[in-house]
Amino acid sequence: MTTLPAVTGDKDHSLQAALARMLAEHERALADEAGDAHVTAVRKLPAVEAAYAPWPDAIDARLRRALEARGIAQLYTHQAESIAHALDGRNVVVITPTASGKTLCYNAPVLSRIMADSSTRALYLFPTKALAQDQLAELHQMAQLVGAEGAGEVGVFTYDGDTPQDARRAIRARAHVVLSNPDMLHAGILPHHPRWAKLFENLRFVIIDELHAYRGVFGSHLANVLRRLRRVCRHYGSDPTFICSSATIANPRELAEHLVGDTFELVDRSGAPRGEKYFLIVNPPVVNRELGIRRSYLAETRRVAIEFLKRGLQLIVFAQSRLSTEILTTYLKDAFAGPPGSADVIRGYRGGYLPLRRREIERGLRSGDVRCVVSTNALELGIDIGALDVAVMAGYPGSIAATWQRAGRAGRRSGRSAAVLVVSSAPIDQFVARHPDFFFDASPEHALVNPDNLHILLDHVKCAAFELPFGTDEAFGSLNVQEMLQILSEEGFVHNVGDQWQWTQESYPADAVSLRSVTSDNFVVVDTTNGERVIGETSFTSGPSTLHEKAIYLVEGTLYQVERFDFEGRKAFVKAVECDYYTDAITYTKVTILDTFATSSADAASPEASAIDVAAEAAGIDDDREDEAPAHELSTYSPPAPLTTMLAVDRAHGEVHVVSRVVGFKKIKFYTNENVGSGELDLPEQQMHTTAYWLTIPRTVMAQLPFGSADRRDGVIGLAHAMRNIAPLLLMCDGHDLGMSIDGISLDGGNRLGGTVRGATLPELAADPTIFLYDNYPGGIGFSEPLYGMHEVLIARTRELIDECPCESGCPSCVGPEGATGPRAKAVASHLLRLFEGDAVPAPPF
Amino acid sequence: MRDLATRLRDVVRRERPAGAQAPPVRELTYVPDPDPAPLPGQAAVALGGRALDPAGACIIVERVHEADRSHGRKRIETCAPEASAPLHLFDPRAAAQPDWWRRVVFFDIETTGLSGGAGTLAFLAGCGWFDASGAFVVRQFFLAGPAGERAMLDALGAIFDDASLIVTYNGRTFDVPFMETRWAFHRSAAPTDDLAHFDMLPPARRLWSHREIESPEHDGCSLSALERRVLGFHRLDDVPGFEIPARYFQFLRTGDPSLVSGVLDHNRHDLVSLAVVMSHALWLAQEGPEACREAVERLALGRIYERADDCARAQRAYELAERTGDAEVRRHALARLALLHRRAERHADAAAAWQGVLDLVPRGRRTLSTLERRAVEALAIHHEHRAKDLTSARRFAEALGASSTGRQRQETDRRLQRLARKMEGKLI
Repeated sequence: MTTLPAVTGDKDHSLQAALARMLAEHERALADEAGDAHVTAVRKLPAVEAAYAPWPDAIDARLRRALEARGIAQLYTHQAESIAHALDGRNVVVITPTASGKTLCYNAPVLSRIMADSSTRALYLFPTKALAQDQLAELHQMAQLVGAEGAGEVGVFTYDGDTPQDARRAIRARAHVVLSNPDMLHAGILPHHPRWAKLFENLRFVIIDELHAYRGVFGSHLANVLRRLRRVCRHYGSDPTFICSSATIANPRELAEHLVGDTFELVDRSGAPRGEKYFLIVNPPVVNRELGIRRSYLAETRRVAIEFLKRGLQLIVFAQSRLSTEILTTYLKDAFAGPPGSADVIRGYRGGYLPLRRREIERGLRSGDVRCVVSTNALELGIDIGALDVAVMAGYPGSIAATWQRAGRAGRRSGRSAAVLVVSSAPIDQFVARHPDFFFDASPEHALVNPDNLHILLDHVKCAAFELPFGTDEAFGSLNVQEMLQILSEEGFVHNVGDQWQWTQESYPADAVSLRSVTSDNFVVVDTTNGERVIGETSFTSGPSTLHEKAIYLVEGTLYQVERFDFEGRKAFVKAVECDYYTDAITYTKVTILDTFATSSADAASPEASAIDVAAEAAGIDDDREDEAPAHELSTYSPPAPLTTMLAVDRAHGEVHVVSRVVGFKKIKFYTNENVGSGELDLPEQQMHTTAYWLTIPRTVMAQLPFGSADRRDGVIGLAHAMRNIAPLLLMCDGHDLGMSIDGISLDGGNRLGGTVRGATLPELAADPTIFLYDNYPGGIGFSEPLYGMHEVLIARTRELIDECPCESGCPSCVGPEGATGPRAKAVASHLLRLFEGDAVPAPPF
Repeated sequence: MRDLATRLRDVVRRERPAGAQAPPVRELTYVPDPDPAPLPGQAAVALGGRALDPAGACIIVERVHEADRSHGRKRIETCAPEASAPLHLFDPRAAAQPDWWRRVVFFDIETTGLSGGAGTLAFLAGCGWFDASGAFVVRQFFLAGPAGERAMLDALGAIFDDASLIVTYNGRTFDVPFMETRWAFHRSAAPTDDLAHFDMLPPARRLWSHREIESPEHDGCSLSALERRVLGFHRLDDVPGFEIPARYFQFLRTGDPSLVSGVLDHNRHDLVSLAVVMSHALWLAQEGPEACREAVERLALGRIYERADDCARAQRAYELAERTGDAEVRRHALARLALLHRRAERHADAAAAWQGVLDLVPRGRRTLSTLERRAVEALAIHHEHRAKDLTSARRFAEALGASSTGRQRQETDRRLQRLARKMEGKLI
């Protein structure tokens, strides 16, 4: 155990020293060809000079003087461009790396318009309350400056769930600028729009900060909230201009256009300067070549973090899940226990912590009292935590965009900084480590939204019907809203009176709709060690797998054991315990097909079918699908080029019913990851309807496998394991966004620490086994159709992963660890993939 | 692929989470009615009114309660507001409006929900006033369809523009803000913005709710409860309030006016009762405690005088309550009297009143209520500092000590020590 040295004056020097050690390892690895590359890639991103542009003419001269008085003498090019677009009434989305002065891109046009016409109103939306609070102080300052220039009083207020009731009236009357979040707009503002008549009548600008955060379910909800917002604006005769800021993603303009439902200008060249930055990829060394077992990436992250910490640098460590955040916090706290009673210099940070604790940690980071924070993606967004020196990522964040976003938390201002990615043994991580160019050179991913997910859309049609009666000729989004209203009227939600649909329920629909997930239900965690107090919460879907009885629940490294899980009451009662293990739930999942949207089957009997026939068939199927259900076409996804190869396997996508149940758990020892016990659980099923992509292996293909039935089963499970891990790489999505199941036989660990777990009694495979990859949200969020389209790429990449993996017969990085998947899993999976692609298959090695 | 409608139905029906307890059933059983919607004007005829707009979406229904009719124990014509009525005792701000009695409009709405929000409608707005003959006129605006709202708001605006005062029951928190959002919805200014408004609920609570006095027949302070207790008026077949939104929705779906005619009656009764209750309250305040039927009313009236700084009438009310009430009322009346006396520095009278409170404690009871503790404490102070009767002071302080804990106990102990020192000093 060591204590931390003081923060040194010369951070550049300390950073250089830490990097030098790691670079030396890199050199050694390169020199020794047989050696396992430990630091697999090093990139130096050079410093960039600032680029300036003149002030746009449209900007109010008094605002310009006020800004100059504040030391902003000139604008960066991207600021000037976005301000000009916004003041001319064109919607604009601006790509803003951290510390590029993005707030000016929207504050300047808003304040300029308020100075010209004091009735002007603006609405700012931030993905979290904390971000809105963060911006409030800066806007207050700006408002005072322009006030001094004779603009009169500019009212700036946050309006969120924390705003006291008695202040709300004054805010509605006096605020020129309202800082809020989508949830509040959805449940607190839009349903009460008459009270906000003044805002809506004069709404000139809507600002959406951190646009990239709105993808998947949240984005699909936001798109509908914005449809409702624009509908209410039309009622009051306004048509605001939208200004969006986004981190780097592949399709910012497209995302903005889909979210807002209007055209956008794109400003994607930043004029801001940037300090020099190093980016390293570290692959933990292999400790057992036969089994393909690498050193734990969490232990490796700990080692890397300590290198920097002991040189007096301030850092942020990103972990993949809440569980690994807690584990890493524990490890680092163990390593740097300060003198007893001293303030904690190592802190954990994740969703589920209560707000006060979070604010305290953020303050500690800015003041430098907190030297290292271990966080989930909760700190990926632009919360002000000051300028950190190093970002260490434990595990590949799942997407290129998120990786750059996390790396960007170090070195916000000028000066040298570093980002280190420590990959895990997960297949996707190993792929990145082996192909660093893939990461450095590829474009970041597309952010997908599906505003027409029926579950989400219907909820918002209800909310919209409550806000303003729908006309019988009115449209809402791209699906036929009149048909929806007809069905809602059958169920008594609305009634057609004259030429409009009147809301006919006492309830207030927005209350029942949460934007953050499909259900708004959650579980709270109650600590009963000393009286009762709530120490955290967790979503409805992950409740059973993390809060089941005997589960170990971690908060900043403190261990609690769940004593009673009250499923009905949505509570878990925990007590603080001391133990040296954590728990990982085992979930059983069964998928049944409800409806097939599109299929393309292989004619296994005549694998030599002519290319022309195959192409025609494929094209015909695609046309069919579009004719039948144009409405379902996923707007953000462009179909791939016509098929050139036909795989000897059936693929389809459609609607499925997923039933999952937590059936047991494993006890896993800290540091060694040994399995030290297990338990059985009897918990209620969770069900959902969602969309899935699936692949069926025809029995003719199965019959060509020169393996026994147990081996075949292991091979299919291994193949599914690899596919499930490659798929998130092709989509821009988190590993948790996709679920996997084989013919309804799936036993899977709840997090990525372990591989697929083999149950004691696995049922036999079906004659034509099917692998499902499903959207892990009710109704689906649009991953299945793109996966269906990327089928060939998915198969090719999966084959690359398995064939290039240096292990002998399966490891966690390809088909799953041999102990869990069976001795021939890798061979069978590889053989299957070759059969799919119609390759000649060499005789099996026996 | 299944068609959109099938998939939508699936989603809509599946929304109800399996296993979750069903929400309380408030909807009337709903069977889709294949009958075509009734013709415009049809509902108006059935409800005994006429259409205000060409489409028949807003229906106006007018009824007159003749001057010589009775409402419970009160005759309608005696209830018209008069300039001399002491409204200032209940609401000085409303009474400050010059000529407040000129055109008093009683106002009450029925809505499609209590949550508020843009999708909640006031489908029925009732206004009542007294005409020159002393008769009570009720004019109701009913929405046969939501399209009639504009016409309703315009008609209400005309009535409010003419009014000198509006009177509501809980209108300050509900009816008026609710209607303001409806005017805002239609992007017009609310005519209630600078209209004097008297909300009868707070004074009614003060007069008849008696929170500190437990009473078995007490059934809240709703208008229908008050009209039973205070006016002796009993409604027949009244529509319960919680059923009202569901009845209206059902009416929208079926066009059956019998579902809502009871709601119109309910609203009309509320308006008449509101006018009569207000008149009765003003009459009581005018006449004084002798006019009250119950001692508990006298006690409440005393507090109203006291609030308005009319101490002489307050004292009279408390004294009368003390003479006529049961032990519970007497206890409270004596306590109020004691406080009044102390304020006027009649310390001996105050002490006598506190002693009266203690005399009501049944023999043998060991514990003291808050009020009784207060009496003991006041008497301990009185005997120590004013009457200089240290023995009595110690007796009261000991009684106080026996029934107190924590900080109160410490204070009492200090008092006892001080008394002991004083008594020793005297002995020496």
